[in-house]
Amino acid sequence: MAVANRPWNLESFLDSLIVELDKARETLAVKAINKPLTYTVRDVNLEMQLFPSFDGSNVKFVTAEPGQEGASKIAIQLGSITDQQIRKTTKDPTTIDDVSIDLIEDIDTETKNTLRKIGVTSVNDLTEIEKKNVDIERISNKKTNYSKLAKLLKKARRRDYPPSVKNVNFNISKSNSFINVEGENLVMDEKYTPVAVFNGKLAELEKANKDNLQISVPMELIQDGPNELIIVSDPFTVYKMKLNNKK
Amino acid sequence: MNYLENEDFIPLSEFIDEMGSIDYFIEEQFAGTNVSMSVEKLKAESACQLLIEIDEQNEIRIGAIPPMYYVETTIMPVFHKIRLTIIKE
Repeated sequence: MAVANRPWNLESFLDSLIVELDKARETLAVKAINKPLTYTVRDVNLEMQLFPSFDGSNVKFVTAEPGQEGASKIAIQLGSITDQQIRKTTKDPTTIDDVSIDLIEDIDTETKNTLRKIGVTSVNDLTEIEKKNVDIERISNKKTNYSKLAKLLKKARRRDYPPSVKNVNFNISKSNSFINVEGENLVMDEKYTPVAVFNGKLAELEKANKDNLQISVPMELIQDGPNELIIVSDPFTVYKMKLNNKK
Repeated sequence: MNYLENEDFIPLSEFIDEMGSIDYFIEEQFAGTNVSMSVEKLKAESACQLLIEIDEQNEIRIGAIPPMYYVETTIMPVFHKIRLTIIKE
């Protein structure tokens, strides 16, 4: 059930107000199809009697109720804006290959708020300010730093691209035995050297990229029946495979 | 469609629509010819009562109505003010 007269924040209110105004405009546009005269709402100005409150980090408002005196007056004016003006004055929305800071669970709310206040809402924003050598530690009053964030962001990005193995082949010969692994997102971090462990022994990765791994293994290590292969592709990704070698 | 819990109010979009329903011609006979006029621009300012509800998804619904009564009461309702400009396209 909806509750009336609960405190609300300005952002949610403005979102709803814009939706209401858009709806009104849409109705007028539909009317225009059959009517010779077309009108549009150019601006709306709403002057409200409110009581603001501040809980230390957020400002919330509650609408004045009958009989209450001393309310503050807040006026919101919504004007028309063209798509070109929007493009000029707002940031591009977060793209598919970017990660929104809000969605990263490992970053605490305080850091998220600090980042939002300095205009950082996505991982690409952070990369941009890092390129310009901005001292993020000073701006955020030592609440956050790049290396701490970079780790969390890499982890979050990796979560969006989990490794998937499609095909594994054994190539057994006396001179050179190797295992060929095919799949997607097998190794993503170029700065990190991936590690392979085959049946409990370190194995050499001859080739490691996004969709193919070639692991050199001594022939005597390959058992008939089940074998175990563990790949550590970066600090956040470990995958283990049970491989059945049938003769 | 009224999605507000309190049925005394109508959604703000409908309120704006109602205020903006001005698509009429005024027609008059003048010197044997038909003269018609239409509104070019309308600036309306009205006191209104607002209802701000928060639904289950934590979204805000805004309802509005013009003042319902014109009688002075001991406890007067709170009147906000809405101003809008409607133009002919």
